[in-house]
Amino acid sequence: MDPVVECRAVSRVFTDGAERRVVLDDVSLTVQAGEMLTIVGASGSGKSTLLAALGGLDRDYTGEVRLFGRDLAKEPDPALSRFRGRSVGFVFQSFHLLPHLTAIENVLVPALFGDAIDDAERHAAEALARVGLGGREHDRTEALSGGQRQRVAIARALLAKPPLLLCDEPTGNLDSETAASILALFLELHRAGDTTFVIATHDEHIAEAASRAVVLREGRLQET
Amino acid sequence: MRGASLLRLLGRDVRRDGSALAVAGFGIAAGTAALAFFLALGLGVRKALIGRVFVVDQIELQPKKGADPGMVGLLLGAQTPAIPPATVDALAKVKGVLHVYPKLRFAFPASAKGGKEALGRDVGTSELPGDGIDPALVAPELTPPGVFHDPLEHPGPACVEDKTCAAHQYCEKPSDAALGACSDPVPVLVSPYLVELFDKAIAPAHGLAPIGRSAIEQASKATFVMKVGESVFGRSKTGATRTMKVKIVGLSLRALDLGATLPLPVVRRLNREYAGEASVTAFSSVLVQVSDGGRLAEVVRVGEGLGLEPKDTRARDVAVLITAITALLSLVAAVMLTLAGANIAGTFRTLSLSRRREIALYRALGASQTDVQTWLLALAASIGITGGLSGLLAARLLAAIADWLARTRLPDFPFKPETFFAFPASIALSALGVAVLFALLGAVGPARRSAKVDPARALAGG
Repeated sequence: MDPVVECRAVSRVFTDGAERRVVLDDVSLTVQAGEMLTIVGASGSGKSTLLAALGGLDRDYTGEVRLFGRDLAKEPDPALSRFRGRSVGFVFQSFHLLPHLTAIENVLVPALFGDAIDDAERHAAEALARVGLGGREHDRTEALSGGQRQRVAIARALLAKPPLLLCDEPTGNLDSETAASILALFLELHRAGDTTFVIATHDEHIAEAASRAVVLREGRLQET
Repeated sequence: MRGASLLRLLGRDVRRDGSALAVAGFGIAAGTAALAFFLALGLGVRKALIGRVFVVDQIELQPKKGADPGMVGLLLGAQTPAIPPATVDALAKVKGVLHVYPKLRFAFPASAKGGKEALGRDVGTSELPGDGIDPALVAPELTPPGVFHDPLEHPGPACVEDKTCAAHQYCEKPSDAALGACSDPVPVLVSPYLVELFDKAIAPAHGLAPIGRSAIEQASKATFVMKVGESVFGRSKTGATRTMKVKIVGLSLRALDLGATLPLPVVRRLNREYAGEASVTAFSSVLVQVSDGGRLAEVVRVGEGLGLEPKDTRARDVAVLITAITALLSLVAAVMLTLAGANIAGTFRTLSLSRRREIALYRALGASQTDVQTWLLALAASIGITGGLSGLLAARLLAAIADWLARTRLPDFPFKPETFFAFPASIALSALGVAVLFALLGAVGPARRSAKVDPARALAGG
């Protein structure tokens, strides 16, 4: 069986005029199905860049990134977008909810694109209930707390039931109590199914709870 | 992207940025209104003039003026130039020519009087010029189509004088014949110019009521007496002066502007009677009908080679003038629409910049570049459709106001139409299509740039 994520010698360089900045340097990484992997590193160590490459949001790297056996660099945009919508859920540090929409409307955003999701509204309500926001479906996201907003974002990531969740500093904007509840939610979701988690974080509690952790330091990856 | 999803996105856009989109749509509405208004005006004026006043799918050719012998020539015995049957045949062979209808002018003096039954008093003229045309030329425009025909196609009983015939008939007895045949009144066509001239110039001068076009139906109930072989200018050298009954059966642009137009077989008979056999085929002009106006130039060229020239080029000149003015006004509308397109480009540039992160999020959640472009272009098309429909509505409203002003403020003038505008479906569809096109042209650049937003960078806040 193919690994969920397979990274081989991935490098990513950003240029700004004459300045050249190596953000990922020869990174190789394999993630098996059902793993919960954390990528730990200081700010600017390249965690978000690596997640963007793993999710096919950034393909300007050298090397090879395979997701479920598919070489992302070789996929045409429409196929990659559809594949991403179906297979990868994203959770961001700053939630990226649409403030003009209600909680359930935010959760339903992935259903607007790609393949139709059967009975999407019911699934969205279930996803919200699963993250502890049952009954808050029609609340404006502006009226929710930071922790609740992140829960909405997690529910949105879960809507299409993707086999892989990519989480970029999911607790970075939350207080420690709320961060602990989000971690508990991740662990519960991980136990409940065979979803693979790749979490970029500098939250040591998440790193400790994960089944495996790697460290990114100045673009280079080290197993702990 | 599925249609339902697209509609949901568009609905949210309208709720969020309704006022900005309305401002963008206003330019499109104004441009479309101007375009539809000017096109409808051009078409309406063309409709009012062409067909009612001028006909563009036909041309009348006559012998060149240089061939006219003039008064001195005529006194010296020269003949008035005429068109022989061979020339008629040659014109019929020109590509695009549907029919060639020769016209035969009266080769005899005539006058007419009558109409009391319909007009209340007799009217008439002491000199009646006239010509004859093929009844087939005017059949489609008359009701019933066969009303303009030679009455002797079905002659009545033999007679020597009118009183032996039925009350409405007369005895058609040529000068040298011992016996004639009872005949219905000869049908006559008059030109709409003549009615306009009567209503706008003659009737006011004599204190008469204008007869109007509809009154022609009334006039058809009246019989006129036409005296042939003699008029105020003298008598015919051959043939006897006699009278015949005629009645007006309709108006036609094919009729002589100032005079009476009779069925060609009747004029042939009368010309033969008063001017001899040669006058029967000496046509005064030919009316050439073509499949479309573009063929007229070739007809004129061939006609010139045959010694003919156009009798009247007003139709062509008017058509060209209207087309040119409409094109000029449409250009103004096109400039307005271009500005509206630029305005839409600006609105969409601002909109896509302010939604950069949202677009990046959509990309992360499964939207392809094509989905993003489809969404933004559909939004632009919606603005185009809404703006276009509003513009069409405004154009109709403006046209109604202009027509009302024309009806109430403009003085009456010949051929004044009920409306100066024509709004066929083709104008609505074209204006709507142009509105959508300009909206899309304005949005296509910003939509393409939005689709290429780097999602990783935009979501990271870059």
